Amino acid sequence: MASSVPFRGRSMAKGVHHLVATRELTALMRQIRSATGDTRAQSCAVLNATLTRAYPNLPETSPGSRYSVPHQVTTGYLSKVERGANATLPVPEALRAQGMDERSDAARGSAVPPWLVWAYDVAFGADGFLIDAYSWAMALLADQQHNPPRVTRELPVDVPGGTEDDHFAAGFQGAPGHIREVLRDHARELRERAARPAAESAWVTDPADESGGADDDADNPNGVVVRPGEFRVVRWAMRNAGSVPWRDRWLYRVWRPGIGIVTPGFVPLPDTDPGGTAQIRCPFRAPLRPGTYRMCLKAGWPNGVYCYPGTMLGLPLTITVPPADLADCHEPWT
Amino acid sequence: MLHAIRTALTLSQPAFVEFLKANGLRGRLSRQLLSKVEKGDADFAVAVWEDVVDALLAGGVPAADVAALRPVEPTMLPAPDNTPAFRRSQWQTLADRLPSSRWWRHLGRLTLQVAGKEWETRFDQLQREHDIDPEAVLAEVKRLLELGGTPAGAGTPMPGDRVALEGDESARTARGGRQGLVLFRVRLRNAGTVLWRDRMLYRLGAPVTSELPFVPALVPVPATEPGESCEIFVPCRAQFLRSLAVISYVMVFADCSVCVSGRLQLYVDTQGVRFER
Repeated sequence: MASSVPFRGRSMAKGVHHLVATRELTALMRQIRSATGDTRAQSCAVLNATLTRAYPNLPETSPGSRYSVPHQVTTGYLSKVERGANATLPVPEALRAQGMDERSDAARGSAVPPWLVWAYDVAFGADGFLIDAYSWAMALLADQQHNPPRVTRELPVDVPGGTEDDHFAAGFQGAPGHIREVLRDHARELRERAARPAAESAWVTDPADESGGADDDADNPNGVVVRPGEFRVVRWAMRNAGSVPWRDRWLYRVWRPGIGIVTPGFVPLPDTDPGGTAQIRCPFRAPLRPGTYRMCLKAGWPNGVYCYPGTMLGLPLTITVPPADLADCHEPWT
Repeated sequence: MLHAIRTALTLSQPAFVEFLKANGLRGRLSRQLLSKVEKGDADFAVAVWEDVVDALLAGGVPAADVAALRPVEPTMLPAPDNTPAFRRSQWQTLADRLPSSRWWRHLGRLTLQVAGKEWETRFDQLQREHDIDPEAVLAEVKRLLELGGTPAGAGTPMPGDRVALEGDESARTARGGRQGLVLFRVRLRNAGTVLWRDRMLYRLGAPVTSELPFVPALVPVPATEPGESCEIFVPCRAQFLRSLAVISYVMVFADCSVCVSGRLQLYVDTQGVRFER
């Protein structure tokens, strides 16, 4: 017998293609809760025990207020939150403009209280992943409020000429030479792009514009174990599977700066013709606090408008920073 | 809070909804949703709360009563420190309630759902072939976690404790379809001078995400004398996304503290194989 036995999975029912950031978050919450095998009733008991430890005067029911404040949860409440049916958010203008039915399942998304995300994380052993994903969801939700959806946090045009190197070096003090070299390359690319005429008329989404997925970095696979504060460069090979040439594109980090993995706010997506492959490099610094973290990069034009507004994750990388007492685990057994 | 205001106004739920609408509430608000919110089964969206507050003020409800509906936005608490005691208590509560999980009680049905009839049969064959009994594995994990709460379960790393892997790298890499099932079979050799007893493999990181496969958090390690080998089986469901993922296990004592340096790495690659029917 082979030492690992792969099974071919059965075709699953087609899942909902979520369009609202918090729906992706609640789907993650459900995924991690379901992995425990708990029923919703059991989950409620565990969550309420977790919440009671964190908030000793936890009210039995929601006091009802503008912001959901911590309270004991019911199975009905969990069901509504996980299905995106609690405190339903308005469908983003950009989606409505595309004819999205606001009553459809795909368009549904809840306001998700941070205390509930925290309780899911702790109760179901998510290792900080949901807490980190909350920041991502809030950042993407803010981007989705624009029509078309766009990044507003940090754009290439916000970087004054002559400060490109300093811009990319921010957060990477003490990085080793090969990381600084990549950052300098990115700064050079920013300077070169700023010097050439902008073709803004081409900065619009096009159904013929397709990304054929990305090959992951064998040195930095998802789940890679990284030392606290360690510097690395993750590489992806991303294929242009459509018929639109990729020009003037950046990969924007969807995040709240200061939380989670440190990366530049954007890295260049090299110009790539249809059928070609773009080699992407993104330096990152692991958080100091142990946990599981994810960074997501989404393609966009220099004005921050996303090239693929209907996708959620873009290019994701998940890393694990082990707890301090397990820090001596970095050399794999051989 | 809302219930208290409604009660003070001596209005029924339908009458309260009408009261809010008469005082400028925009959009839809059903009696049923109001009931769920009052019971704590649902929240209003923030924008609806703003409208409700405006309508209450317009309806003459004192501002002091309404102010409580506008608390400071709660913030995210930091994740608790992942200490051995925290890990042990976290997974002990899970192990305690796992037997009542309907999926645990009907693992065959779960396999059938995620992989189909053919693979349910194959998985069953493999379990019998290699004498894998999920109930026995769970019982052993529960025993170890309980032991970890006693002085007898507290371990101390010893010099000379060492793990080596038998078999080649391919044994620890699975290539397949997204969400496919995999059974890893790994042989660990006790390459040191310390007897392995009452030990487990503890998986680092989140239990499952769109990019990470689902594997057990804890896998018991059979007692193994120095120079001998033991066999570990790790059932795995591949990640949802087309990606390359690594699963890392460290070896811990029953109290979930580390016993030996290094880690076991298992790779799951769903990049190359298109999902097929």
